[in-house]
Amino acid sequence: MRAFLVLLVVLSGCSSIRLGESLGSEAEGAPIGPLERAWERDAQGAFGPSAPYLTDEYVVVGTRRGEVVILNRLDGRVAGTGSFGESVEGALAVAPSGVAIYVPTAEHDGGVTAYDVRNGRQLWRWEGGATEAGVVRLGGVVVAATLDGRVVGLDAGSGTPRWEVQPDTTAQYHAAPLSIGTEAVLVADDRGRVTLYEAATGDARWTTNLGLPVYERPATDGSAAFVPTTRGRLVALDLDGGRVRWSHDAMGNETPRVSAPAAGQGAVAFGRTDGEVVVVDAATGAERWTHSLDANVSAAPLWMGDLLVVGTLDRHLLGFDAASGTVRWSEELRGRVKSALASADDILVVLTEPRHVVAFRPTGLVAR
Amino acid sequence: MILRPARAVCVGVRLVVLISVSLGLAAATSVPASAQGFGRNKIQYEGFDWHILRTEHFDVYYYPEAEELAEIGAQQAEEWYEVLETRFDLSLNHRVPLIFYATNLHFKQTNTTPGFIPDGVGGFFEFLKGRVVIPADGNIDRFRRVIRHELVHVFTFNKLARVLRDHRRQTDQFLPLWFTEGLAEYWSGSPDYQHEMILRDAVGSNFYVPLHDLDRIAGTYVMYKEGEAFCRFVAETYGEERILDLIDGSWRDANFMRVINVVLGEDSYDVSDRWEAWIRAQYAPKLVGADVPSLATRPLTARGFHAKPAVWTRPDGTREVLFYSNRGSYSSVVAQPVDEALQPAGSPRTVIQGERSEDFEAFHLFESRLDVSASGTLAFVTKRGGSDVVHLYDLVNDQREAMLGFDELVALYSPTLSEDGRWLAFTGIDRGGMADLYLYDREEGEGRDALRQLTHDAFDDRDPDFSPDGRTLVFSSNRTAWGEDGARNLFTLDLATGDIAHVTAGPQIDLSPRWSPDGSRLAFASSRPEADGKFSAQDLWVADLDPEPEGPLAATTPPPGGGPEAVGPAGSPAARLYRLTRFTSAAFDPTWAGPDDLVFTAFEDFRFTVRHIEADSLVERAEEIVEAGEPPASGPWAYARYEAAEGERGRPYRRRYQLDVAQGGFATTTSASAQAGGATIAFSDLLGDDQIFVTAYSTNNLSGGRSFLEGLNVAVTRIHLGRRANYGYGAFRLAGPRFDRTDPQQPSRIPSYEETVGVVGLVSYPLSLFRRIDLSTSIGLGEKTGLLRSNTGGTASFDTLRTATLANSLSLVHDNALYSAWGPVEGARANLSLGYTTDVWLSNESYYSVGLDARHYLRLGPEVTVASWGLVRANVGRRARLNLLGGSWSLRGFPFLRVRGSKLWFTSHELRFPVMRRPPLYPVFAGLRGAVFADAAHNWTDGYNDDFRDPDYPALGDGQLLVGTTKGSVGVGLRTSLLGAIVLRYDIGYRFPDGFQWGERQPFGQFFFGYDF
Repeated sequence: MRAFLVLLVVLSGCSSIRLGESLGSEAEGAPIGPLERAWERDAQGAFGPSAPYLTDEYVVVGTRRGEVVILNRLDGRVAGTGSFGESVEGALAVAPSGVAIYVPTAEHDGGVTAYDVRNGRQLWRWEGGATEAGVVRLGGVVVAATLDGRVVGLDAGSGTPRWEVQPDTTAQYHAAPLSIGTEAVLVADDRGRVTLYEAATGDARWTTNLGLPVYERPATDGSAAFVPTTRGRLVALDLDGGRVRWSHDAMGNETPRVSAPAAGQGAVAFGRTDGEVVVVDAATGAERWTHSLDANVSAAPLWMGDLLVVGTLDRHLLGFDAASGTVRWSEELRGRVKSALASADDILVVLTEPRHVVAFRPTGLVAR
Repeated sequence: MILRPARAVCVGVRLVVLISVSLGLAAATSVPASAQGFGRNKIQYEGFDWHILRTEHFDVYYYPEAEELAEIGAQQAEEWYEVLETRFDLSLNHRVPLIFYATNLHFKQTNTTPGFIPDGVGGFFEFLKGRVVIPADGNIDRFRRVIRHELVHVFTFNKLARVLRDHRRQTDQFLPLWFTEGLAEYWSGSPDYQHEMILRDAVGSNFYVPLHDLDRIAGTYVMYKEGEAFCRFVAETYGEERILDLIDGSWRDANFMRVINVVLGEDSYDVSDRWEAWIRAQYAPKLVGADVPSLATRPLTARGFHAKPAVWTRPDGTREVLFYSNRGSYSSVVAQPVDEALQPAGSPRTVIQGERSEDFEAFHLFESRLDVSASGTLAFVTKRGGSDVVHLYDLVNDQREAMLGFDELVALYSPTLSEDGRWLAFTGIDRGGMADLYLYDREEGEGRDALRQLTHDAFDDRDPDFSPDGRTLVFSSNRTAWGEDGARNLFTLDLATGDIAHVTAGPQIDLSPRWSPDGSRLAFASSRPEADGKFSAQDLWVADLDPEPEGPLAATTPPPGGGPEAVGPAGSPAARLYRLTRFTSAAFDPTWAGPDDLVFTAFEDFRFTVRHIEADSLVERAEEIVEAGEPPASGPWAYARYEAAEGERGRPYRRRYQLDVAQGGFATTTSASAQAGGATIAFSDLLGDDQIFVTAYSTNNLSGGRSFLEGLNVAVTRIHLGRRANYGYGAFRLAGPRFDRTDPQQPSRIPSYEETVGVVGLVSYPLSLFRRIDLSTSIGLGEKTGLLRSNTGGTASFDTLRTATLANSLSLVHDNALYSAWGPVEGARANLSLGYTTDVWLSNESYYSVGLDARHYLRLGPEVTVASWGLVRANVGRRARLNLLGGSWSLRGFPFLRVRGSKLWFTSHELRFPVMRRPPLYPVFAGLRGAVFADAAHNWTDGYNDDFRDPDYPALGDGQLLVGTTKGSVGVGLRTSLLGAIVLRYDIGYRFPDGFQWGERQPFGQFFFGYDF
């Protein structure tokens, strides 16, 4: 009897990701509104600022409980859960084959864990320090940016560091790295240093010092990187050389934080903590439109065709007409939206406080 | 300031205590000896007509008289909400209740916290209900700053809770108080002159407390300012964002120092060192060439707190300097005789002893000056009940001339008398919370025109002083164009015309002016913005009101950094200002002691002392001479007010009860019938005026064959605290096995089973802060089954006793004792109680109860007290209950509550003294104190002495009777305070079972916890 109880306890406390198959390939594209709620799932843990990862089969989210939760994209059922540390705060990455996920953990003795989702086995673990910002995978390298200011290129197969740089011992990385094409990665620290590295070697192509802290992930349209700062400024950097193409500043006495931006429609959209939603021309930085909301906008907005979707801290999801900036659609949510939105094909996924994953689909596609 | 749950339930003698007593009363149908309450009274003098102003994010609670204040506060709250929403990267998803009081005296009456609120508290955030409670008291600038400060707390609390929940951490984890208060200071505005004063002094006096020791100064003003400096240091050194990172990273470790390690990327000791170096680098250069007050001036007082001096000359030509002092523990007005050179000449005498009686309930030590007329009339203010009064005291004959209160004014500050003593001017705060100047004609007396309001606006007019000819008042005010940014200038008010004119003009802080005896000069204190943006030390200045023409001056008055453009219209100030001192820290409240001398309060080494300086010689070699400045061209300004939408203003307040878990502990009973454990749920309305307690617990022994319901105890009580007379009522059912040591008919250790159902009513009427009447009544239908004696004693037999007991008690309570962390140290407290208990059904019991409990505390020195206690109790009548003694609280050396008798007297005397201020493991053990004591008692029970024995008495080892003998003990003891919260005591000595026969002594050792009596 006692043995049975012990087994029961062990089993009930044991969770692992074992899909028996790959996650599939990264999903692209976006649904076109109007949208309606398809499903909602309690992930049992809160979320960091990064967007969920969408594949053609699954929705993958990391939680501040230290878990990665894989949900079936169709109905939100939990396909697997794995525990990786105390907090998965930053962006995680998935191997192109969909077989492995790379999970950053933010605790002091954290690092990066590679995990095979088919058989539920840990492939390797790099314990190089708190990795709050997140990771990206380019080719055979997983690039991680750590809280103590290091950028590390890890061999995707073994986890062995191929290269490591620490340009400033006082700087920290809070913003997730951004892959530029298939060979380069852009990182920005909280001292405002923005660097484009060769993913394979760690060589810096260029560095530009903005002098303003960067806490949110930049975006790119292929020719420029759009870097948000905590001091009210969004800066466009030419990817070829790092020259400042233009910058956009908030007005007012209290400088707001700028959310992670979204590039699309030849424009860049971002929110701010003063409640402004701003869309500027990607080439010139000229304002196309702005919209003032009552609440703070911390999460990265998302382009969905001619719709710009924005989540707010007063628990709303709004759809703006991309051209005019008028609100076409809004929905009240269970909690605040502090994480970046994600969409693919027929689904928009929103992470809300306290710990819910909410999926939206175009009207008519939701199973009744 | 934050009120945490532990603090929110800590103090205050209220009706809730009576509930505990009465539930015990109802069951025991007697006045429990241990339940006689003491304590001061928190009195609701005002019946506030609460209304609610709804803004976008706040519910503002106010009363109609303070509507303007509410609108100013609401506007500030909304403006700062937007700022904090960005700084914290957080939007609040609930409405925040802001409760505004017009004055400090109204604020002290709040029921949102049960504790007493001292003068210095500017407001608090209480997070059980998320309430922010703030008074204005005439200073709208400070009111707005406190709003910002408390909103930082609101955001910090919500942000922290979110972070901890997100990471699945316990949400009772708090950030250190020094950090939360420091952050609230830092994010509520730029550092004020008091901030600079504290930090300059901390560096100059070398008492700057390092990061890891800040908990030792928890709650002090220094802690606030050091915490603020730390946040500024982090922002300037690591980036402003790292401050929020410290909150965001709080999930990483319960030890905040480890969070600092990670977030700042450095070892916290290194951070502390860098911080200290950063502070010294800023302030050390400012101290070069500055004078230390204790070296540059001569003292009139050296130890303790002394402030707000006034000087007068007795008819015999001797001079005295009067000032507030806390030489004892109570604040008082003290007169120090001085010689011609203003040196102390004899011992100081106490003129007015404060804080012990209703008329002198409290002085406003930091805000209200003293003044003495030429004829020897001392004018000062005290709190008396719900408002302030001005006392006029004849120093020549040592008697009070008058005590003046004004219905329309709540708070009064800094009275000043004209030379002839006819006119009295002061700052008054009305029921709307605005500070204005008032003039009172003593000859008019009670006449309608006796009181005249001189100013009528939201500006903060303070510290008026009559010119020698009585025609003009000079005062300090923010009614200057720079006042919108916090500046204060000096002004004159012509009493004949009402015209107000600048004396000084600029962005500085000019305070507490005093006219020289010949009327040609003004002495005042001033702090001025320096080139680096920081305020200078608060120094002594003299304004020459009729200066000789001179050449160009070495310096001119700012405005540095812009500000209103100065224009010189006709009648602009022509005064010349002489900076007399350049102190390391600060000087306050200068007053003239003759034509050439000044007496003032100096701040140094975090102490306030009264000192003397020769003004004339300093004027000749002034540190700085500047023109007084030109009055600004810009017109008057006004505080922005919130414009509420139609239907959002003036909604009457309606009570809605909310769960109030923290007060649950209050309703658990402590009497002999009370049970440890059990759940109590408390509800109260948002203002805390109405409270409902529901208590349920089961005491039954299920193995004894009784059901759960048979042992279920339930009590529901509602109390109302919104008026001066607190009242309550409730119903109860108490059931279960019970050892009733007060029952003369239950001699056995075998419990009886008892069930009582009844109702209880309570009234408590405070006569003053120190005195009240408590009245309680209950009626309970009871049934008791067990081994019981008959009324005449004899052998006990198994029986059932049914009663319908009506119990009434009336108590007069007095308490003006001062407390330390160990117990009372000075003052007195007493409780006289009368009671009558009768069985209205079968007359099984009917008796009277009389009790007098008096305690006195004589302070021999700062830490040495002689405590004396006398107690007499008698229950007389049919089946009179027994009174109890024994244990470490009363009769030491005898078992707890085992000395019993329907009548008894008891006395105890104890000398308390310090042994070690910082024992090993400090601050876990916060000090070690000693005691030498002697206890004595005699207890007896008519008709029972011969056959009544305590079944536990053999435990004493000698088998002697505990009844009908005089017994006592002598010994010594040690006390220590665990974390400053729980007093642990250990006594050893000899006990004497019958008389104090040395040969019959028995040694004992006794451990207990709890405060000294």
